[in-house]
Order: sequence, then C-alpha cells, then structure tokens
Amino acid sequence: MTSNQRIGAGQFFLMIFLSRVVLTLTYSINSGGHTISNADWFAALFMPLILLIMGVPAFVFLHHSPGGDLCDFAFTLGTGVGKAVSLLYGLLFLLLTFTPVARFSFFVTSTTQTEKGEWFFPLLIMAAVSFGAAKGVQAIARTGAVLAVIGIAAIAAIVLALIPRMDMLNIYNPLAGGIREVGSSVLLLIANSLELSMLYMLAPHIRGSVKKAYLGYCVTAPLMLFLVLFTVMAVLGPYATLQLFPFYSVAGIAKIGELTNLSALEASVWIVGVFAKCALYLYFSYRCLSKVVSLPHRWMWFVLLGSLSAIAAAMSSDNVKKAQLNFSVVGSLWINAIFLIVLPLILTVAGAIKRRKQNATMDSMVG
Amino acid sequence: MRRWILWLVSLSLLFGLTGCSDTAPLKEKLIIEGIGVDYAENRFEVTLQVYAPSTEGVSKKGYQTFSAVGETLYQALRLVDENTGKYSYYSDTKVVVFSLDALQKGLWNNVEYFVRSSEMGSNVALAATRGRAADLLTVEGEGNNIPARVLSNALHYGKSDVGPISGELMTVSAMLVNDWGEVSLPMLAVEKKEGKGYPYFDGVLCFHQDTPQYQMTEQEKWVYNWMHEYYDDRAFVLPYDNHLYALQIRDSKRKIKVYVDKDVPVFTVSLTLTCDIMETNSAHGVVLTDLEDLKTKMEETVSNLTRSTLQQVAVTQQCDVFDLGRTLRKQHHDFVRRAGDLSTALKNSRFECITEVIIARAGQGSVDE
Repeated sequence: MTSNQRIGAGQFFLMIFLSRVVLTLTYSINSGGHTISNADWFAALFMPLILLIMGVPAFVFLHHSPGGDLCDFAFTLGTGVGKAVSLLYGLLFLLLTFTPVARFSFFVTSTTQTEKGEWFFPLLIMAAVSFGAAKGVQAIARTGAVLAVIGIAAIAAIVLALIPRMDMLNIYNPLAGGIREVGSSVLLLIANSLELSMLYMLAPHIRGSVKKAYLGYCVTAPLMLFLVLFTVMAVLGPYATLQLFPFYSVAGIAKIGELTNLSALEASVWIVGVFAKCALYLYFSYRCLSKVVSLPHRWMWFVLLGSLSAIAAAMSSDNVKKAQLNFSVVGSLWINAIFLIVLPLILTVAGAIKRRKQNATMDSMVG
Repeated sequence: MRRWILWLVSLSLLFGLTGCSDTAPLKEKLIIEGIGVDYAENRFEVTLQVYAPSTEGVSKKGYQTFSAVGETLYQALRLVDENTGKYSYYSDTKVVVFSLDALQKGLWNNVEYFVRSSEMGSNVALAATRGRAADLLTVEGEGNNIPARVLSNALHYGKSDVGPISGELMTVSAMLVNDWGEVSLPMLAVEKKEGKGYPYFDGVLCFHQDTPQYQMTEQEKWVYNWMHEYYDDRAFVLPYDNHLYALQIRDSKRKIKVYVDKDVPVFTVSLTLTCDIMETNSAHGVVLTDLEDLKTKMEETVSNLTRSTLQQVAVTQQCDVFDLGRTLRKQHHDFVRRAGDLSTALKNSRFECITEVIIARAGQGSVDE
C-alpha cells in the first residue's frame, strides 16, 4: 500500500466498530436456529475478553511480519504459498462482501413490502460499493468514520427513546435456560466477529497505535452489542422471538417527540454501514486476488468482483432456505477459526522457522 | 467523460434506491385507520375504515367504509383491494376491533395476519366488542376526528401518556405464542344518544390461551387498572360512616413479590394509591380527624377487592392477566420449570395484599378540624 493509503488509528477503530454494529443491527432469528433470549445480552458481557484473546494471534503475526499485510507476508515464504494464501483470502473477502448485501436484500424484500425481485438491491448496492472500493482504503476509512459517528448517534437515539417502553419483567435470569443457552449465544457472537480480518490487512498501514484502536474496539463493540440486545429483550420480551429482525421492529416502536417509527433510521444506519463495510472488504479482495492474477486495468477488478458479489448475493437470498445460509453460525465459526486464527498462526510459525534457518545459515557463513 | 459517467450512475442510484420507481399515488391508496372483524356463517367479515378528507369531495364525514367477506381474515382483506381497485395501506392503522364471535374462532386466527404484516405497527391497539365490530367504526367523533381515532382515544382514556390497556398487537401476540401469561383485551361498546353513537370502555375480556374465557366485573376492572398502574378519572365510591365518599384515584403503583411455600406460590401484592376526595355526600364535608379512619377503610376495601379479583381471575378462571406468571418466572424460575408451565405453576396460588392509600387532596372544599 502506498503512503497515501495510510489511515489513522481512530479511523480504523471506527471502521471495525461500524462493521460490527451493522451486523448486530441485522441480527435475525434466522441465525443458525438460535432463538433470541436474555442469554444474548449476557453473552455480550464476555465478549471483551474473548475478542482480546482472539486478537492475540493477530498481534503475534504483526509482531513477526516485516511490514506488509497477510498476503505480502505469505509471499516471503514462497511464491506458491503467497499465491495460495492470496487466493484463499481473496475469496474470503469476497464472501464477506456479498453476505451483508444478501442479508440486506433479504431484509428489504421481507420487511418493507417492496415488490422488487432479489436482483434489484444487490445490483444497486454493489454498484455503489464497487465505486467506493475503487477509491481506495483512505477514502473508505474517512467515509466510514463519519458514518460510524452518525450510526452511533442514531442507535443511541433509538435506545434512549425506548427507555420508557422497557419492561423489566421481560428481563430475567440469563442463566435460566442453562449454561448451554449462554454458550450458544457466545458462539453466535464470536461467529459474527469477523472484523479481525481487517486487522490483518490494514494494521501495517495504520498511523498511530493499532493496539489501542483494537483495545477500544474490544471494549466499545461489546458494549454496543449489550445495549442493543438488552433493549430488544426489555422492550419486546417474548415478541422478539416472532420478529425476523428484532431491532428493526423495536425501532419501529420508538418515538422522539412527534417523530415516530424510527425503523427508517435503523434501516438507514444499516445501509450506510453495509456500504462502508462491503467497500472495504471488496478492496481487500482486490488487493489479494490482484496478487494472483493480473488484469489490464485496475477498474476491471472492481467491475468483476462487484458483479460476482451482486450475483452471489442475489442467488443466495432468493428463498428462505438459502437465506438462512447467510446467517449460518457454524459456517462463520469455521471461517473465524481457519482464516483468522489457524492460518495466520501457521504463517507466523513458518515465517519464524524460515528466519531462524536463514539466521543459522548466515551465522555459519560468517563463522 | 468520467464525470458524466459518475453523474449518470449517481442519478440512477438516486432514483433506484429512493423508491421512486415503486410508488402508488395517494389517490390509489386506502389509508386504513380502523379495522373491524366480524364472523358469521363460517366467514370473516372485515370492515375497513379509510381516511377520506372531505376536500376530495368523496365524504363529508372524513372517512369511508369498505367491507368484504372471506374464509380467512387475509382473504377478506385482499378482497377489499380487489373490489376497490386500490392498494391498502396499513401503516396508519390505529385500532383493530374484533367481535366476540370472531374471537371464538381463536385469537391467533384473528391476529396472525397482522403479526406477519410488515406494514402493521407493533403497537396498534386491539379491542373486543360484544356486538358487531363494524358498528363501532361508525361512532361519532368530535371536530375532525374519525371513529377509529375516537376509539383509539377511548382506549387511552384520553391521556397521551397512558398506553392502551394491554391490547397492543405486540403484547397480545407475544402472550399467545409464548408461555408468558394470558391475553386481555379492552372491550368497547357504543352508547346511542340522540341518534348518535359514542364509544365507551365496556370492560376487560380475559383469555385462557386462545379462547375468550372471562369478562371482568365492574369492580374487578378497578383492580385491573391498579395492577397495570393505569389511572383514569372514574370515581371510586366508598361507603363510610353513613356517607358516600367519591374518590378520584390519581396514581397507582404496584409491587409484586412471590415466595414458594411447599410448592404453593404466595404472592404479596403491595399497592400504593394516591387519591383525592371529590365528594363526601355529607353536610360537614371532610373532617381531618376522619381522614385516618377513611384511609383505613379504603385500604381494607382495596386489599379485599384485589385479593378476590386475583383469586377469581388468575386462579379460578386461569386468566393470568396481571403478570403474576412472569413475576413468578423471574423470581423463581426453577419452580416454574419443575411445574412444567405457568398455568400449572399458578394453579394453587395464594395472595396477600398490602395497600397504602395516600389521600392527597380534598378538592377546593374546606377541611375542618
């Protein structure tokens, strides 16, 4: 990445925060068969520690990497390794691009009475996302930072407006369903925490303290999760289990003065969050795949990847059964484990072994 | 060239994403304010009250009514669109009224469509009526208020800060689908005066699971309001010392605690009522020295009434409309789990009631020593 593609630590923090919050707003009862309950907000209280632990492999990698991102580091181990890793992560980021778009398309076509088909929204959104991605990470980060502040303000407004509607009778002992229920909630929250992937791609290019930015994320994102999930349960209670998108439903009940039905505000935050998040992931996908294959012009990548994402998003949300895959907890957990923890650790260890061999060879030559 | 392409893309996104391409003009929409659901001859009959400003020259009353009949509620509602050639818009619906006959077919059958509809607001008020629901949608309003809004106001007791008594769509559907308590719906009726109909609050209809089970008496309605911390301007008449004291309850607060004694839940209900003395029906008015005895008498009356109402409604009729089950689940989850479900858990409940009455004012009349 060139020097004009560096971003501030604050921008990085706001980007990963926005990315996580958008996912929480789009919480659906379709999420891998998980039913929303009081265990969810309780599970959010464990997330700071879990996110910190999940970040350890990333920071170990960063400590050992010479300054490039994950794909650049893989190339230092060999061209074949570099291309394989770049291809895998390129496809991962493509998946992470179209999944939020598919979720959004599913949301719009099931809750807002639109007559549009499943192709309409993915095509329109990916057109905007592709344009955003083509502008580069600095432009995306700047935009995302502004959108994150707007998003935080909007969510705070909705939560505050709902305080009079909270009924504490809806909040009961989160352990009432047993430890298993809490465990299931924790797994769901971990499955949805894929923002670590941004750390691997952006960390070498961040001005300022990456550690502080990530620490800030570990504290604030779970706090936002807790607020959103607690609000949903306190206001809706058992009605939440009947709603496809509970936070959207609860925002529909909120009112501030004469302003009623704030669900449009929630949907707006969702849209802008999806734009910023997907633009960044599409950019990462381009960064990785362009190391494997070369195209004559840079813009061709964004047209190609944008089109592929739109097609994938439309095809994966055209019926209820397929749409459920977009919310799969098991799939996300595997992605988390393989791409965010195992592979980086393997690369780190391989890099350390290679460096040790090189040092040993140099020592023997000098000796 | 690039700038032109960007402009073109932006404009297409603007028109595409803002819904400009998917609109129906206002004249082609039926803005539904109120819905009445009746049932006769194995069919649902729906009556839709539609907003129709008199400037359109269509209706001087400000509303129009359309009806249709179908085997299911959804079929009947869709037939209205077919028959009128317009698109029904439910986002502004204030109230849905069900006749008792319709409710006998099962509450879930009546509300399911509204729960699934993304247009219908979660906090739309639901109500029941003994007669025809369609008749309730013709009550007189004042000024420019159309019947549905008049009914909605009646359910709010005319106060903007008091919610409709437990008849919101989200509360009703949550109770039905989950084992969290029983549904209660406010009942409305029409009183005819000088050829015009005026709505009034006719009581509370309690359900056991999906079926209407019990209608509260006039006295039991008081307890219902206190337990839900609602207050209205009705007069509570208390006979005391050969006089009739008419009191206005200004505020009610309730706390429920429960303990389990040999597998029997014992509920302790603490009520705090703040009231004003408005009439004494005695020549000497309010005497300070009587206030203590009056307070004691009121507390005793309220406690006895509350205990008997809870016993009758929640235990005998198995209509837990007072959040007792939810409180039991919150404070003794293991007991509920062992019992299997809330109905079984509440079966043999006992009640202890502690009331505190605060006599705040005696109006503008004199208070004698």
